[in-house]
Amino acid sequence: MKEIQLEAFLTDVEKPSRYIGTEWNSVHKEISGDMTRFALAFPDLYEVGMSHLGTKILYHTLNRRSDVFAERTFAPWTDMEREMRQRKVPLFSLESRTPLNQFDMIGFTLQYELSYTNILNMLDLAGIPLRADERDHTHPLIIAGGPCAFNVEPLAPFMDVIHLGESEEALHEIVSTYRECQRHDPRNRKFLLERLQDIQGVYIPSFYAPRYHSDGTLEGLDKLNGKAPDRIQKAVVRDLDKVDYPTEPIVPFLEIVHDRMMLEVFRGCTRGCRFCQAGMIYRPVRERSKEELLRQAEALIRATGYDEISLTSLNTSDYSQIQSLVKTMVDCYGPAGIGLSLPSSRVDSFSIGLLEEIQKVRKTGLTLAPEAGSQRLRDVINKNVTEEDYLSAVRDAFGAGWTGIKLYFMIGLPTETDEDIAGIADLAEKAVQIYNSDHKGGQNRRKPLRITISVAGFVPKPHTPFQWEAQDSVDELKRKQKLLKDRIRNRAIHLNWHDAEVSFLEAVFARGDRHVADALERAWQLGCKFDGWTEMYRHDLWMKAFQDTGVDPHFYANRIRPLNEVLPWDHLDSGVSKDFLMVEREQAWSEKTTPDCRFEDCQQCGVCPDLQVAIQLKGGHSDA
Amino acid sequence: MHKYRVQFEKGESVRYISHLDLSKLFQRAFRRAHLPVAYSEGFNPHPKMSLASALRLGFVSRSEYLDVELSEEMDPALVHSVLQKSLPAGIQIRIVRVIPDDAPAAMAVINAAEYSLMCSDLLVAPETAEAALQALLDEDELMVDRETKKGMKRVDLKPLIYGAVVCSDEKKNASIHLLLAASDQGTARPEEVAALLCQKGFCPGEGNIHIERIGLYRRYPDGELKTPLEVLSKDSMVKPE
Repeated sequence: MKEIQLEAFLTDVEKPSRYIGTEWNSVHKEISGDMTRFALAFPDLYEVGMSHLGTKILYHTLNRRSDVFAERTFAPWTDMEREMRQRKVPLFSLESRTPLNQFDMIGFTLQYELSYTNILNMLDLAGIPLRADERDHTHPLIIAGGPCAFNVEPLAPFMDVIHLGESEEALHEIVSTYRECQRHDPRNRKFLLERLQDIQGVYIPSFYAPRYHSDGTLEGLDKLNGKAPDRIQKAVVRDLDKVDYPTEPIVPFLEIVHDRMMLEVFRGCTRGCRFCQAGMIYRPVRERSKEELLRQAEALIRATGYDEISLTSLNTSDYSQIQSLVKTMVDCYGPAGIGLSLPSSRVDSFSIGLLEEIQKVRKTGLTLAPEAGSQRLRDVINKNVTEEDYLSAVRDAFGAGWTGIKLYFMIGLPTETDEDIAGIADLAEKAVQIYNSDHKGGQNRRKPLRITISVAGFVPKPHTPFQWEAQDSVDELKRKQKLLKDRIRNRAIHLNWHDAEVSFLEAVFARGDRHVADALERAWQLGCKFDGWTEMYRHDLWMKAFQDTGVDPHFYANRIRPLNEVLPWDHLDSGVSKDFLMVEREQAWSEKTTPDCRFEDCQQCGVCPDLQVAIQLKGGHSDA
Repeated sequence: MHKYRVQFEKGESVRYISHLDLSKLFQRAFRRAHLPVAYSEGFNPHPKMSLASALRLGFVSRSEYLDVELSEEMDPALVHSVLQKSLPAGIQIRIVRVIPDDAPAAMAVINAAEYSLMCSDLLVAPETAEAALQALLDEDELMVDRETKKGMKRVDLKPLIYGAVVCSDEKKNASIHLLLAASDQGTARPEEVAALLCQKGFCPGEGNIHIERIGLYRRYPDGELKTPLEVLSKDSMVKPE
C-alpha cells in the first residue's frame, strides 16, 4: 500500500501541524494483522477536537489494549480538503496515515448538532458510502456517541451503531464483541449488530423503522429485528474513581482551544436547570475523590509540561471538597508556576472566594451565567440565582481585582416577556454602578471596566422539561436582540449574540426525526460544512436543502408539541422519566423552583432506581 | 545567573510546526524534564528562554539555537540528557553549553544563515547547478518583491548573498549551499533565492526545491564565520576571538 504523501502540499495549507500526528504522548504502535484498528473521528478542526476530553479518555483507554490501535482523525479545513480532493488523497488517520476506509471501526463523537455535515463530508472524503444500508461487512463499522446521541434520529440512516451515555467502559465490550464476531463470522454484519445490541447503551438504528401519522408526527417505531429492545437505556459509569483516566494526554504542537491539563472533578449535575440537557442526561452526580484527583494531577504535570490545570465538570464550585482541593493544589503547585482554572462559576460569593484563591497564581477571565434577566424567569427555568447573589458576586469580583466579566444569558425562553429582556441590560448596568461606586470609576485600575453580555437563542432540547416548547421564530429572536441592544447605554457594556439563524438550525436538529436526514444529506451535497463556524454557515443553502427534500424546518423548531405526542427520542432512555419532565414543566409554568437532590430530598427523576446507580459525593456533604 | 545555550536540530517529524509552536514546545519540555527555568519578574512572569532565529515553517534545520536561564546551576551534560528525553521525535539536541552571564543573546549574535538547496524530484548534474548559480551571480542586481507587514517592498538580494557553492553527493546529485544575510539590517530569504535559481535553470519548479538550514553564524567584515557557541562576549561581537 503506497504511503500517503503530504509533503508536496502541506506548506500550502494553513496550520499544517493539524495533520501530522507526531505530538508528544501520541501513540504509535507496531501494527499486527490481528489488531483492531479504531479511528476516533472528531467532526471538526484539530484545534477543537484536541480540546475534547471525551476523545482523550477513549484514545487512552483503547490504546491500553495490545489488541487495539486507536488513532485520530479530524475534519480537514477547506484548503486541505481542496488539495486532498485534487490529488485524490483520502481522509487518513494522523498517527499512521492509514486511509480511513481501512479501519475496522470509526467512532464519531456527536458534540454539536451543527457538526453533522462534517461527518458526512468525512465519510465521503474517506470513500465510504454515507448511508448504512449502502455499506456491508467490507466497510468499517460506523459508530457514534456523545450527548447528541440522545436524539440521533437525524443521523440515524448514516450510522451502524449508536452508543448512548458514558462510553469508556462499554466501548471495550463493543470492541471485544466485534473481535469475537470477526473471528467466527466476519461476513455476518447482522449477527454482529445483534450481539452489540446486548451491550448497555447500544442502539442499532437499522433495527427500527419510524411510522408517521399523516400530519408528519411520529406514530411509533416498528421493530425490524425480533431481538431489538423497545427502549435503549444509557450506559453509566458507577464509580469514577475506578475508571480509566488519561494521565498522559497528547500535547499538541498547535495552539488549541483548551491548552491545559484537564481533571474531571465529577460527572452529572442535579441543579435541575430546566433548559439544560446535560443536567438531565448525565445524572446522577458522581464525584471523584480528592485523593484520586491529586494523584491524577501529579501524573498529568509530569507527563505534559502544561502550566495550567482545568477543573472541569458541569459546575465545579458544587464539588463537595472544592475548597480543600483548591487550597491543596494552589499550595502544592502554585510555587511551581502551575495555575488552576474553573471554566464557569456559580453566581455567588462562594465561587468568587474560590476564584480569588486560584488567582494567586494567574489571573483568568471571569464568567457568570445568570441566564435570565428577571427573578421570575430565573425561577421558571429553575436557575437558582437571586439578584442579591449576583450583585454580591460581582462586588466581590471587582474587589478581588477583576475588571472584565462575561455574563451568559439566553433569549427566547418559555414564558419570556420584553421585561425579562430589559432585565438583562439592567443586571449589567447594576454591575457597572457597583464598580463605579466602589472603585471610583476605575481610577486606580490598570484596565477599563468591560462587561460582556453574551446572548444565545434558546433551543428546546430533548430529555428536558422544555422538550415540548417551541423556539421563538428567527424574526422574534432578532427583535429581542435589538430590544436588548437598544437598552444598553453604557460604554463599558459590550453585547454579542449567537446568530438567530444558527440557533434555528440547532433547534431543527435537536428535535428532528429521520426525515431531517434527507435535508442533511442534501445540504452537504450543496456544499454545507463547518456550519458552526460563522464564516462558513450558509443559511441560504440550508433553506434550499429543506425545500429540495420537502422537509419543513419550522415543524421541528417552532412547533409546540402536545404532551401526548410520540417524540423521535422516546425510545432513547436517559434514565430520567417523562413523568418527571412533565411535572417539572408544570412547575416551570407555575414559576416554582425545584431543589437539588444532592443537598435536599430526592425529586424522583427516576435515574437512580432505573439504572441502579446512586449519587456519589466523596466529601460526604458539600463544602458549599 | 545560570545561562545555557542549546544547539539542536529540527527534523522531519516537526517540520511543519511554526516558530511560536516550537517556542511553546520547549517551554513544556523543560517543565516535563523538571529543569528549573528562571522566570522574569513583574505582573505576568514568563520563562527566560528564547529561540535564536525564526525558521520558516516547512524547513528542517541541522543547527538552531535556544538560550535559556536556569534558577539553579546544573551540569550541562545532565541538562542535555533530561531535556532530550522530554522532547518529541524530531528535535535532537546537539550541544548544551554554559555561557557567561554577559554573553550577548544568540539572537543578537546571528547575522548570517547557511542553507542547502536541493531539487527533490530529479537528479541535478553539478554542471547544471554551477551554470545556474553563475548566471545568478553574474547579475548586477537581483530584485524581488517581498511582502512585509508594512506592505510590498522591493529588495535587492545581491548584496545579501554572502557566498554560494555547489556541492554534490555520491550519486552526483548537486545541491547549492548559500550563505545569506540574516539580521535586522537585511535578510535574504532562501526561498526567494531558490525561485531565482529555478529561473536560471537549477530545477524545473520552485515547489520542488528542498530547503534545509545547515548553520547560523556571526559573519565578520572580513568574511570570517563563527557560530553562536563561539561568540560569548561583547568583544567577540566586533572581532573574532
